[in-house]
Amino acid sequence: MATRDADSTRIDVLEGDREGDESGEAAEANVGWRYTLIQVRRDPTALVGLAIIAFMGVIALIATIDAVVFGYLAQYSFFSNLGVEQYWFARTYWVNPAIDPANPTPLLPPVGFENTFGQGTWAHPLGTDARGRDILVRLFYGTRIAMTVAVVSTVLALVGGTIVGSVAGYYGGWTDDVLMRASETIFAIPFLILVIAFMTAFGRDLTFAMVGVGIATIPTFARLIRSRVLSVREEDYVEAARAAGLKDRDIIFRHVVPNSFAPVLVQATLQVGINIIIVAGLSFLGFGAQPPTPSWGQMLASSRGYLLPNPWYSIWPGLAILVTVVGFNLFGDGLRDALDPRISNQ
Amino acid sequence: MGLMRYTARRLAQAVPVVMGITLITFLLTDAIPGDPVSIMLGPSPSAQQAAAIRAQFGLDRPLYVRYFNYLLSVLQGDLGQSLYYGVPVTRKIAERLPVTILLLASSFAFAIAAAVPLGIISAKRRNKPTDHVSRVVALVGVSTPSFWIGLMLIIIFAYQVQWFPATSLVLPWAPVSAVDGASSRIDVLVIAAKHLTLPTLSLGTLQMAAITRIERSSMLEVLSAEYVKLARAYGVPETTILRRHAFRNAQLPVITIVGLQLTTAIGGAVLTETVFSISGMGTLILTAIVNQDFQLVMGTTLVLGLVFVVGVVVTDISYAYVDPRVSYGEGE
Repeated sequence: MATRDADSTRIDVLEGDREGDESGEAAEANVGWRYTLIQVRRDPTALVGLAIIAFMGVIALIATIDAVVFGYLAQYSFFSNLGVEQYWFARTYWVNPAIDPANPTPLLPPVGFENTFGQGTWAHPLGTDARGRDILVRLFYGTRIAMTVAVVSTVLALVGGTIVGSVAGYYGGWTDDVLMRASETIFAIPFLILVIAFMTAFGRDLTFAMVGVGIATIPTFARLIRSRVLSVREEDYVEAARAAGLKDRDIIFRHVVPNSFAPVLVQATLQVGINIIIVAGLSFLGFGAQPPTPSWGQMLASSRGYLLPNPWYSIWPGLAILVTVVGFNLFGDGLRDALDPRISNQ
Repeated sequence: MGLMRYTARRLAQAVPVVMGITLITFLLTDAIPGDPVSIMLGPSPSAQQAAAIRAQFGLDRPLYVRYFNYLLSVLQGDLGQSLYYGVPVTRKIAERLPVTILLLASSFAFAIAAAVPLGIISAKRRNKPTDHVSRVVALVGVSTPSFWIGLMLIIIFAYQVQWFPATSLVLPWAPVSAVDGASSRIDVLVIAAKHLTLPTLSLGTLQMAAITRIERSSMLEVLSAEYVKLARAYGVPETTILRRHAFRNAQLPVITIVGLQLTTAIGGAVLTETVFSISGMGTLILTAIVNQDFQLVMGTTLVLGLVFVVGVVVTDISYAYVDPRVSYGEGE
């Protein structure tokens, strides 16, 4: 339908022409990757993006250790005797992100500010929410949810899209028609609504958020891969592999897919950023991490009731989303520039 | 003539997609736990009553029969009865759809009006301060959730400086007598514009940023094309090149992005309507889902899918209109 022409243009914009940039041979492909790395290392904005991603990744890792690993270890008396408990780290420094503290001081402003509820203190650097829970700690734990869900759903879409797109592009004919019509159909239902309907049908928790967002983004990757496969398919080395009697499956996954992967990697990086926003939107509407598990979207949803008395509450989660997504966008753009010097934005 | 046939062909190609949308929404709705029986009769209905209701809704039939029946009634313009509101789904949609279309239209109008000049200036003053500022604006714009922008706008413009209202949207076509403090149609329009400002900014920023980025890179690409270099070599003034040679060709990828942004924008409308408590399609679909109003879920999803399909077809047609190279498909 209509979207196909539109899409090929977008891909043109995304990839430009990169002939000769990395040709089919494995050795040359390696050189291509090394070249890309060098380019990225020279690009300050890409490095800033990478630094942000790494920083958020570390926070997510600490939060995961705190919530999951410590929670698991605390079951054993050896560790609990050592003082290990779930949210050990958070409890030592601030307050439990999931459970109400004993003495809640709700809706405190950040350090150095004052509102009707009191003065901001270093005990809660970014203030507290309506139940007196520390906002900074909850932001940390929100990072874990945001990063996990966004990355896992992107990987799902990447795998699904690679299979669908490469099969469609390689075989062509009615296989292509059926798969691409199906992709277009999924694409035509507004993304958020599709995921919400999916989650209503199967479950409202995070697992289904990941699967739903993943499935809904398969078409994006499928079409990107397909357009690459269509051009790679005609290359001499694929012809040679076919003549040498290789199975279709081997040709697709050993030769065609690896050589179509560069633009997909760029798209995947950008997609993680998009998915962070979408997952936040879902949690904002009540689809996703269920309370008391803190997520950015859900924090924003509960902050809606306190926009007037404590606007700070709603500023932080949004800033966290903004910074993280900027990181993925900067890195994705840098990667794209490195892969395609022709459309470089420098 | 060619354009007419092209339009007809595009619309014909959209038919399988629309069929697909009905199938997906039907299957998803069918998978939602619970059925109208439990919603209408409460927790423990008698077997007889339940069977009667099932028969009334045709729920005792196999899935494919129900789908076929659903398709038939959709073709007749009947989207069923909303259980929650107790009115036909079409009436509810007719009530809400104009609100969402208004919101989408004003957001895209804002986005295009801001993005096109911003992108062009950015490309023209490449790597100058103006370019950097516009690139940062665009980057932040594509990285910010629209509903958070909405919350921030409410905090600043509705609560702190009190320039614009945050809730109870006034529609420009509302009767004059129904609007507080309005004595004429112009008053209503002014009040409606004020009410629409914050939701428009909230929903339009992402679109604006995405279009700015593509406008800039597309403009840069065109400006480095051979024919532009040639024009420069002939001594054609830079502004003439921008206006007469580069502008039109640079708009092609921009049109594409506008079409593709529509699906994001419809999703964004659900969030924006929630933030600003607007009674549009987005809040309607959420109400439908929360209350397990199956017919309403299917109807609203189908209609929003249609809005997208129509949007993309319109984009494609304007594409063909701007770019004479697009064949109208005779040779394809």
